[in-house]
Parts: sequence; C-alpha cells; structure tokens
Amino acid sequence: MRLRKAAYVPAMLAISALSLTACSSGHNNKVSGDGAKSEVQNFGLGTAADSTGPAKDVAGAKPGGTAHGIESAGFDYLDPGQIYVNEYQAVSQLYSRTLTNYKVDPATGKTILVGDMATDTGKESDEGKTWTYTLKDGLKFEDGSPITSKDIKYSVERLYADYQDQGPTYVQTWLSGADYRKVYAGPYDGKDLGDDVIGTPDDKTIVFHFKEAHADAPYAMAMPNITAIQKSKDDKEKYNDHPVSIGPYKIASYEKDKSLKLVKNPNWDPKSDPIRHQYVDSWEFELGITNPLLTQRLIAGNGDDKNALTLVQNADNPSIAKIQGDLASYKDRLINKFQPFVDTFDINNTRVKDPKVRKALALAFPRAQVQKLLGGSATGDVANNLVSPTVAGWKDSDPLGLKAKPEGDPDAAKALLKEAGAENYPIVLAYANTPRWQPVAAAIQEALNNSGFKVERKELDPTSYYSTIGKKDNGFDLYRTGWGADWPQISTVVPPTLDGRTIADGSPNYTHYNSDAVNAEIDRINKIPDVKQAADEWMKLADKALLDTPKIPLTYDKFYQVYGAGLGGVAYNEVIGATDISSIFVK
Amino acid sequence: MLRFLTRRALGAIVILFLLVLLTYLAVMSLPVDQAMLNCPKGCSPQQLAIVRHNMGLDKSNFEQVLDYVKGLFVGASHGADGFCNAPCLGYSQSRHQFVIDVIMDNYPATIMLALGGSVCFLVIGVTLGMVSAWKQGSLFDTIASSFSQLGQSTQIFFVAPLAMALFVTNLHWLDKPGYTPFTEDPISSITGMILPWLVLSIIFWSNYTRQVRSLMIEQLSEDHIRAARAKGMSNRYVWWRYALRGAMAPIVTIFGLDLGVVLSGAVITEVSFGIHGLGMLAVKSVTAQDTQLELGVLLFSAAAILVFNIVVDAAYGLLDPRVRIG
Amino acid sequence: MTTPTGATTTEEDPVLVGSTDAAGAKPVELLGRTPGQIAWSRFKRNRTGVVCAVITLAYILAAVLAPVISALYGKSPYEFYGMKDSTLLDDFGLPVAPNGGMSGDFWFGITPQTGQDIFTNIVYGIRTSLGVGLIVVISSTLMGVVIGLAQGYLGGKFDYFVGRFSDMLLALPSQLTAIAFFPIVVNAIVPIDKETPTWVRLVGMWVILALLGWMGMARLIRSITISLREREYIEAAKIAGASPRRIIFKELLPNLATTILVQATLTLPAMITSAAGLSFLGVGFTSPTPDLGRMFSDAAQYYESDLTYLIFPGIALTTFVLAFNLLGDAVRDALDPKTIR
Repeated sequence: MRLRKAAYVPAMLAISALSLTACSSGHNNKVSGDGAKSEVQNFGLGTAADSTGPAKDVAGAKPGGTAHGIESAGFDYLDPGQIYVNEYQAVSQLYSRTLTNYKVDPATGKTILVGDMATDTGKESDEGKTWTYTLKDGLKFEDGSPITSKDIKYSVERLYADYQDQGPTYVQTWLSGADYRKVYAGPYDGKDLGDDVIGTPDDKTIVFHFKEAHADAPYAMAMPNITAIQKSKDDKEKYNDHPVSIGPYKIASYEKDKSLKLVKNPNWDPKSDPIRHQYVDSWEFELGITNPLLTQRLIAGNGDDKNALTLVQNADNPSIAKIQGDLASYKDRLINKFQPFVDTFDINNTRVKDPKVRKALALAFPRAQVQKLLGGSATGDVANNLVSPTVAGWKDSDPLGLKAKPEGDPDAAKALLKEAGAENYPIVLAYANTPRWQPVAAAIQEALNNSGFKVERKELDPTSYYSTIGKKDNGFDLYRTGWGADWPQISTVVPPTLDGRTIADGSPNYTHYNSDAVNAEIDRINKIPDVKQAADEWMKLADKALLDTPKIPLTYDKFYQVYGAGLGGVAYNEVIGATDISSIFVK
Repeated sequence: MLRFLTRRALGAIVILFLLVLLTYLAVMSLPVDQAMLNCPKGCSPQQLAIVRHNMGLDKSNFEQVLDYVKGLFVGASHGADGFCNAPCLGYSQSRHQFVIDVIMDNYPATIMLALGGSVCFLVIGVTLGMVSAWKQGSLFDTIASSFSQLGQSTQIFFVAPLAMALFVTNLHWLDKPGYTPFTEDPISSITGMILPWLVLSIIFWSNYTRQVRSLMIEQLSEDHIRAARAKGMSNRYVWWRYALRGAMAPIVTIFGLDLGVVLSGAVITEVSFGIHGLGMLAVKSVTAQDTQLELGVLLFSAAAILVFNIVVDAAYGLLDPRVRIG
Repeated sequence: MTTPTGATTTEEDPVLVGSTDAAGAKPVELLGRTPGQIAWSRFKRNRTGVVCAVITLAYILAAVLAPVISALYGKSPYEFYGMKDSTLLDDFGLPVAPNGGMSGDFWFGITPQTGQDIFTNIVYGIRTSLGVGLIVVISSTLMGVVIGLAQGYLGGKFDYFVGRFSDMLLALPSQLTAIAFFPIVVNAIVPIDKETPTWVRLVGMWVILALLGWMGMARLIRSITISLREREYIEAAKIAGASPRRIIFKELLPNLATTILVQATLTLPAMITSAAGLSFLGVGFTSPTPDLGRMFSDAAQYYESDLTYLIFPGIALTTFVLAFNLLGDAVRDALDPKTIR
C-alpha cells in the first residue's frame, strides 16, 4: 500500500527546521517513559439504536468558528468513487456519507460500526449472499432533493465505468466477479445494472445480491465509494472537482494542491446522522504543506493554526523529540493512537525457499533497533504477528517466539542456519534510498551478517519502490512493506497479502507466499457467516501462516501528532488511520 | 530590427521543437511504469490494466509521441480536466493537472526570486565594481575583490543553510524564508525573500564587480576619454558621461543572460530555501518520475532562456551603436 | 618560432630559442629560456598563486591517499559508528557530544542518525569530487578542442550546423537538463528498477556534465583557429604542401596550448561544484558513496540542531574551489600577462 508516500519525499526538499538547541551544546534527548499508550478497541457491529441520530452532544462543545486543516498532500480525489487513501477518506466524512460508517466516541475512543445512511448495519438473507439496507428519513442532497435507493445504486453503477480506477473494488467484485467491468460498462450509456444484482424495490430499500456469501458486507458498505451520487450532477471525471454534498458541510471552493474550503450544508439533517456534528461554521484546509513545517506550525499554534489539525501526517522525529521533552504542555492536544498499518519485512519466498532459512532471518532480525531508528515507541510498537491491534480478533500472539529477544537472537539464527546447511546464506536487502531507510538497511545488514548471513544492500529509487519490489521477478530477498486493513477484520489482511493465488505484478502479496493449506483455509473462513467467529479463525490462520515465516513482523504503526489548542472534540479513527473530524468544535 | 526578431524567434522555435523530440524520445526510454505508480492499494491485474488504459499507456510509444506533439500544436483532450489548449505541454500524472497549470502555479515564485535577486546582484556588483575602479589599488579595492573571489568560490547549498541558521534560528531577525504572493501580503512576501535574494546574488555579483572594474579602467584609458580630460572636463563628468556609458553595453549583456538563467529556475537556491518555484518543480518532477511534467518544465525554461538571449542581442544593438543587427 | 598569443613578448626580454647554434659562446643565463621557464619564474613570484598551488596539491594528495589517511586515522567513511556505539547518538539520532560530536576519535564530528565519521567522509568526498571533476574536464576539453578546431579549420556548412547545435545546447537550462537527463543516461546502462552501482552513477555524471560543458571551449578554440587560419605562417605551411594533419598538430595546436590549459584549469572548479550540486539535488551520488554534495543535502536538514555537520564540508569545498580559482588566475597571469583582470 502506498498511503505513506510522504515518508519518501526526499529529505532535501524539506530543509528542516529542528527547533532544538543551537550547535555547540550536545544532545542527549531520551524518550521519556513510553508516551501515550493506545488502548485496544473491539470494533464490533453497532445496533439499530446506535445507528439512530442525532449524535450525542460532546461535552463543552459550542457552535461557531472556523476549523483549519493543514495537509501535506493535495486532495487528489474528492469524488467519493475514487477515494481510497485514508487522508481523502477522512476529509470526505465532512461532505459525504456511506451506507454504514464508524462511530468514534471522542471521550473514550471506542469505535463501532453503525448504519450511517442506512438504519442499521444490514440484514442478511440467503445464507449471507443477500444484504438488505433501509435508508433513514430526511436524507437529502445539497440542493434539497431527497436521496433514494436509486441514488445509492447509481453510486455503485458508476464504479463499473473505466475512469473509476482509484477506489476499492470489494462490492463490485462481490456483485459481478473480478472482471466486473466486462459484465457491465457503467451507467453512462443509459443501461442499468440488473435488479438481480442490486434491487431497489422501493425508494427506501436497497438489496445487494452477491455471488457468494460475505459476512463482511456491513464493513464493505463503509467503503467511501458506497454512497449516494446525484445522477443529474454526475459529469464523470469532472465530478471530482465538485462532488455534491450529503454530509454536514458542502464544498465552497477547491483549488487543486492549494486549498479546500467547506461551509455548512443546510440540507443535512442532524436527526439522520448518528456520527457527525455541525459545530463549526466552516472548514479551511491548506494543502501541500510538508513536514517539518507542518508539525512546527501545529506545535507553535500561531494565529489560525491555533484551530488547526492534520489528518494523517505523523510528526517528524525531531518534533516528536521536542514534544516528548515537554510532554506536560502538549499532552492535552496530543494524539498517539494505533494505525491499521503493520510494517513487515517481506521475504521473497520464490527466492528463499527453505522455511528454516526464513525462520533464521526472523530470529536474527534486529527489530527493536529498527523500531528505534524509525522513531521509537512514539510511532510504532514492536509487532510479533501480522495483525494490527486495530483489527477485530487481534491477539498478542507470538507464533515465531520473537518476543523474548526483540533485538534479535544471533545464536539461535546461526544454529538454525547450520541445521539447514545454509551457512553464509546470501541475502539481497532492498530499501528505498532515503535518509530514513539508509541507517535501517545498514543496521539490518550488520545484525544479519553477525548471525551467519551475507547481506548485500541494494538501494532503490524511493518513488518507484513499491512498483519495483512489486514485480514478480524482482531479484531481491528482503524488503520492507506496510499493509493496513481496509476494515477491522483480518479478511482484509490475510487474503490480500498471503493468498498465493493472487501473485502477480503489483499484487500486495509481496512475499509470493503460496501455501495450499493456507489458501484452502482462506476459502473456508471466508464462508463463515458469523464475523465474530470468523475473526478468531482468521487470527489463527494469520499465526499459522506466519509459522512458515513468509515475512517478519516489525511494528504496529502509531499516529503521533499534536493539534491546535483551540479545537475540541478531536478523536482518532483507528480503523482508517486518520484524525476523526466529525465532532470538532472551536473552543 | 523586425527582421532580426522574426529570424531569431523562428530559430528559437526550431530549437525548441528539436528539443521536444529529443527529450521525449529520451524520456520514453525510461522503463518507469507510470501505471503501476498510479495503481491504487491492493492492485489487481484487472485494476492495473484499466489504469494503464486510462493513462493512455497502452498505446505504442510512437502514438504517444505523436499525441504529445499534436497537443503542442492543436491541443489535446484530457478527460477529467477537459481540453488542454495548444500549446499543450501535457498532463502531470503526479499532480493530476495540466503541466502548464502546474508551471503557472509555481512560476510566480521563480519570478519573484529572479527579479529581486537580480536587482540585488546588479546593484551590489556594479556599485562595488565602480568604487573599486575609482579607488584602484586601495584597501577597499582589495577587500571588494577578495570578497568577490570568495563569493565566486562558495556554494549556495552551503551559504543558504548557514544564513538561515544565523539570521533565522539564532538572531531571529527574519522568519523562515518562503514565497508568499505579493498580492496576498506584500510585507511578508518581501521579508520571506530577503535571504534568498541576497544568497542568490552572492554567486552572481562578483562577476559584475570584476567586469565593471576592468571595463571602467579600460574605458578610462581610451583615447576619447583622455581627450575629454585633456580638454578640461571634470573627472566626475567624464566618469559618468563617457566611461560608464561605454561600460554599459557589456554589463547589460551579462545581466540579460543572468536574468535568463535565474528566470529559468535557480534550482539550488529554490531547493535550499524551500521556495516552490520552477527549479523545485523540476526536482520534484524528476523524483516523482512524472515524465510529462519534467519535459514541460524543461521546455518552459529553455524558452525563457531563448527569449532572454534574443532580448539581450536586441538590447545590445540599441545600446552600442557600433553593433548593427538586422 | 613565434607564438602569437604573446607568451614570448614579455618584460623579461629573453633570448629566443634557437640560439644554441653558438654553442657555449654565450653565458648560460641567456641560454634557451623556454616560454615555460619564463612562465614558471613569473608564477613563482606570485605569492597567492604559490600558496594556492600548495593548498591544491594538499587536496590532491588527500584525494589520492584517502585510503591511507583513513587507515592511519582508524575510521572508515562507510561505517555507521552511531549504530555500533549507542552512546554516540541520543534517542533522536543527534550527536551526544557537543559540536556535532567532535572528539579525539571523531575530529570533525559524526553525522546525525547514522553516526558516520565526517572527517573520512570529507577526505573521500574530495576524492569523488576531484575524480569526477578531472574526467569531466579532460573529456569536455577534448571534445571542445576537437570540435572547435574542426569548426574553425573546416568552416562552411559543418561550422554552421555544429554552431547551431551548440547554440541549442547553450539554450538549455543546464541544471534542469542535468537532473532531467541523469536518470536517462543511467538507465541506458542499468535499468532504473535494478540496483545502480556507483560506477554507473559516475559515468552518468561524466556523460551529462561533459555533454553540457564542451561548448565554451569549442567556441573559444573556433574563434582563435579562425584568426590563426589566415596567418602568414599557416598560409606558408599550406603552400609548402603540409598535410592538414600536420597543420593542425604542428602549427595550430601548439599555439592553442596556452589557451586550452588556462581554460581547462578555470573549468575544473566549476565542474566540481556542478557535480556537487547534482548530488545535492538528489541525482548523482547517493548513500553510501562518500560525496560532498550528498553531505550538503543531508547536513542542510540539521542546520538548526547540528551546524557542525554543515560547516566542515562547506569549508572544505569552498577552500578548495577558492584555491583552485586563484591558482587558475595565477597560471593565466604567468602564461599570458597581457590579460587585464
């Protein structure tokens, strides 16, 4: 996944401003304690009552004022159909709604899935193949015209058109198979998707007929592209510049790569919305402000920055040092929460075929040292398995027995290599050639060489890093990747990254791990109708697959950033890995 | 004059066209898979194919070059962003915008940097050179020439962070440099550029100091000036009326060429100070492997240089009556 | 033989070469002072020039002997000392010791994050810079001389088209072109998605800088050649039936030697800084190759917290370029005193 491109922007473009001490004094900053501990939530399905609006008032909230956002990227995609990147998904919460969505309690951080436009998270029939949703009353487009089930269906239909190439493809694939574009070419030539695929028996009811059972459907309906699109306003690609609002705010102006301004949408009915508030009068996002400037502005909080936040950009390491050094002044406006991403070092299973060698790699791997180099516990905890704590069913398991020695166990690795008869095993370590990864690669090389491997480092161009390692015959043995669950179920972790049948150029199965047993298990668990039961089975499968050591778990990523002292109601959505801005008010 | 300008303009257009062909073919040889760079999370083969198709990358190389050249002359249509008018410099895949729009967004910063910077180096350089010539051999002359030597030998990527550490971090005299549109906030627009202007001028002004000094000394030994002095004209009068005028033409030439250089993007200055101008854009387009943006920036700045070369030659003809153009 | 560039018409008033016919008849001092000897004696009297020559020589020695120096000093530029010894860097990767980690062990301090030794990196960096500078200057000079000679001597259509081609190259914004074309040259040797060895990057810089750097020399040589072509002695050689080859190598080139030498000396520092600029911008050399330009781009990030890291490479590069520039001036003065500075 490439949600964190920003990390690769060559550092030379960002002439840093470390507001630490002047030159002649030494540095001895230590991370104090272990920072804010993120707690684990259960991410279950909410009831119909949970789905009923209006959202509970936030203590101390008052209306009025302008909230500001400072973003490192430009908002490339505003069309909900094209949204997949977490940053865009987070901002779309202001102007768009989905059938289901995540409700985050700003006070406790507890996150559950509720019906957003729908009255609940969905009713299944036909053994999970058919899912029925009922729309709430009072749903309207920006211009006041009512939203009907046809508009929901239309939002899915247009995803079949060729130009819709950036969004998630779960629902389309479930409805019409992997080659869904061949089945139906989109609504623009006047044809509808059949009622046997998506039925709209009345204006309030919408029925999805999947080819197979999908217990995960309620979560898939929270994907940003399952929404309502006003057919008369849809001008294909150009819709991206002026999406019609169905949320509490509507787009007032949008300048690519520069700014996005939103104002209140009078046709949004708070009674229909269990998640969002309309406290602030307007939102102003400033785009293209990169670290370290971005974080420095949030720390300083001058002028409008007092009421500013950022959606996904972590603080840079020197800024983290500054915040940690004076935690007392920042702790009231600090977010330190888990993200859905797990960083791993992937072993190329087509090249390193012997599982014993792979296990020895994992044993030798200096995970604690790498974690420290990447920013320490503030931005990630050392991981022992492949599943993020932000996913249902997560357990603190340790299938490879790595927990005891996070700094690596050279003796055990050497012994295992000897047993496999593969001493001095050559390893080609590929890394993105940036100041962030250079020392990491050096540390890994050193540790692995001390454990009986012979490591050769290969630096890769940072921009094409993922497309280079994504090639099937990439010629490298070990490379770092990150994957985040699309929704808090392991079904969006194990199948994409470990199903051997998906191996192809660009596929996220970067390890090329292909085990018949695991593939069969994936098919079996996918059919389990109860998500809770499936969650436990998935976790077992993830740990079972890890026993073959296809990859080495590195860190559970964390978000670490401050926001302006003038804002209240700031929460963090651990599921999409972004600041939750649905309940923000200006103090 | 008109004939001269037409001929030079035509020549410039031919050069630019050759440049397009050469560069595009060269850039095409890069095996960067733009489709893979733009394929979203969890890229499936089907998804990759549709992204490739939508980007027009499933066409042959020849067709792609043809499309680009066609875009230059008659414009091209780009679904999401509508019609790109001729001369269409292409579509930036990393910015999802027309290349020309991206350039126009970034160019004001470069203009601001170039204009202010060139005023700085012209004024500083010429003043130092004239005083040095006036007081030839004095302490001032020695200091000015050593300083010029040092300026010519040092590097922006060294001086820029040094200046920021001194004036921004330690002395707090200035805010962190950066570009603000003049129309938005004139004061911070200027204060944000002071350091970049001065640092940029360091590497240029030494040349003016040397040139002005030697030109003035040379001029003063010319026969007509000696004659003027012999006739009893005051030193000051001769100095301003004749010597300076004689030294003007070469200085204007150098200035025009330098202005062309900075207007085509002072890459290192922009990167060092984090100014989002043409030079920074070029670096970003290379790191983002955005080939059409890369190409567009290159063409745009080559055009800037060519225009200034023509202007300089024309100005030379006007300033120095001995030179006839046409 | 007279040299029209003026190298023999000096205040020294020497006896022309060729006076050996009266062997032993004249005092030794008046015997055979070659233009080279005259220039050398003139150069020796230029104090700045001598000092700069010594500095330049020291740099060249350091570059050549870099491995010896680093062995004696006991540190390697490639080693990440901060990773081996956790007391060198703090939790945020900044040197613990004051002044950027300067100490008896690390004379110029260590780099943030990785804890590499700055001293050896500068020594090796000079080696890289000087190496790139030299090969670029030699090849662009060769190209310039050959093309300029051909243009000036052949004239006609050839002169016209080559002239327009060099106009086109001169119209290119050189830095932008270099950063845009560097990946293309590198890719011509190694596909961009494969690992790029350092020598390929070196070749990339070499090709780009040489291709963008020969035009000045060519123009200069062309104009001098054109003026020389009409001289009597060339005419005489032609009438005497000398082959073009002989005219070029025996008659023209010796008269161009001074110009070429001076011009090349003056280009070297410019090329070194261009190469450093490329690496600074992220094309060119990358980690782990020690390189001054790369050090600047790295150090610029830490200018607020660790200025030492910036200062040493900065002083090293500026001193070297300054010394070489002044040396170039001194050499020109010695060879060609008529030039007005």
